[in-house]
Amino acid sequence: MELLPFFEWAETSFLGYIGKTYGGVYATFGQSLHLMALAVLGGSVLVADLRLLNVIMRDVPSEIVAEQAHKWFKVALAVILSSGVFMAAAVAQRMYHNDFFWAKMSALFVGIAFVFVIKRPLLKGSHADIHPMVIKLVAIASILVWFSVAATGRWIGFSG
Amino acid sequence: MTLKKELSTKEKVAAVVAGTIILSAIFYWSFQFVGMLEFLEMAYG
Amino acid sequence: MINEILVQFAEWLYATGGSRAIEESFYLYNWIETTHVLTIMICLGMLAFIDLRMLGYAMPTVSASKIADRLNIPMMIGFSIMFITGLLLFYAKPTYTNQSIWFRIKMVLLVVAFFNAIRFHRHMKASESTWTNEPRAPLNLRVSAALSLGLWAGVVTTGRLIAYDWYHCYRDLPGWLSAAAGCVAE
Repeated sequence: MELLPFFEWAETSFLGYIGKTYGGVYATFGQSLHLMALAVLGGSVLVADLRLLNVIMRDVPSEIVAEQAHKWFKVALAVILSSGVFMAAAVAQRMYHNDFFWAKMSALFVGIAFVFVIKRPLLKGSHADIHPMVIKLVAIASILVWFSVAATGRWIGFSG
Repeated sequence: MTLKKELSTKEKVAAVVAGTIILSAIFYWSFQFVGMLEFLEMAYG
Repeated sequence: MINEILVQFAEWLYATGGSRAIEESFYLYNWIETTHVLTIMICLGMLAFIDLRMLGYAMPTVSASKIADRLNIPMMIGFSIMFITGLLLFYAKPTYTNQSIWFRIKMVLLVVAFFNAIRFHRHMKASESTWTNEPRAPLNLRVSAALSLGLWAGVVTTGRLIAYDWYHCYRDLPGWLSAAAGCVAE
């Protein structure tokens, strides 16, 4: 499947036009909003996973922490995806030729699938019924995958 | 510590997927790191 | 007067070996900046959960002061990393950053956020036993929590905008903005 025409179209779309034309809108509703959502998304990942690793909040039931963090994870994900699509539309053709963009998209896809297909279903019930090693593996994988999404994302900007 | 002898299917799948993600992340970032070292070597000698 | 002194200080910093080394290196500046940006997840991520708990939007069944207390350590670790990397970023580009209106607004917001945090902490410690298990904190603490979220959103936004030179001294700026951005007569 050839994706380049889609990226070319994205840049000429209304969203792409706004982002290209108005630098202030791009910087605030694109970049700044993306960073604020990153804070909440990263925060919810860290709160939940560090709790599962027994690093923080050991005296709060991990079921509550994981469930509440997931609630805010979903909110942050919605904001970060919308602002991300807006930013990418404005520079779509450059993104198409950027290796880090594709690394980020792959990590993002893996991250979302991991959360909704593996992690959430696993952690839904009582955590005492789950093998502690499995919980720890899942927590480490979750931190790593979202760190990778964020870090490759930052590197898109450095690699023109 | 008493652990269950058998992992459920859900746990097995989770462990395998999580393990794969961890290994891929380690592989990806070491690859990036080596690439950076090579570049620095080229730049500074 | 103060702007002249700041410019002199920035030029002096700029001329130091370390400053030139960071800005001119291939990766160091980017690494410091990436660390600064990614640590937002630790510092502001924890802060967001504390504030959201006070507002009743996160973990309402868990004691509020317990959340604030437990997340305070990772938040402060994150803040320390952001503070150090932030100093290094300023050190690498002192002349540009000093005359960025966004940087200046960011510093003001940080100071206000600092006093807000102290006020929040003092009020929380004084009264926590009476409401800590309620789903929401008392009004004056909720105001502080909401203010904290707003101030930090401003810090993030102005921080991001430092990269843009729309209102830099070499632009045609109105007098008040020129003074606020720290521009001095050549």
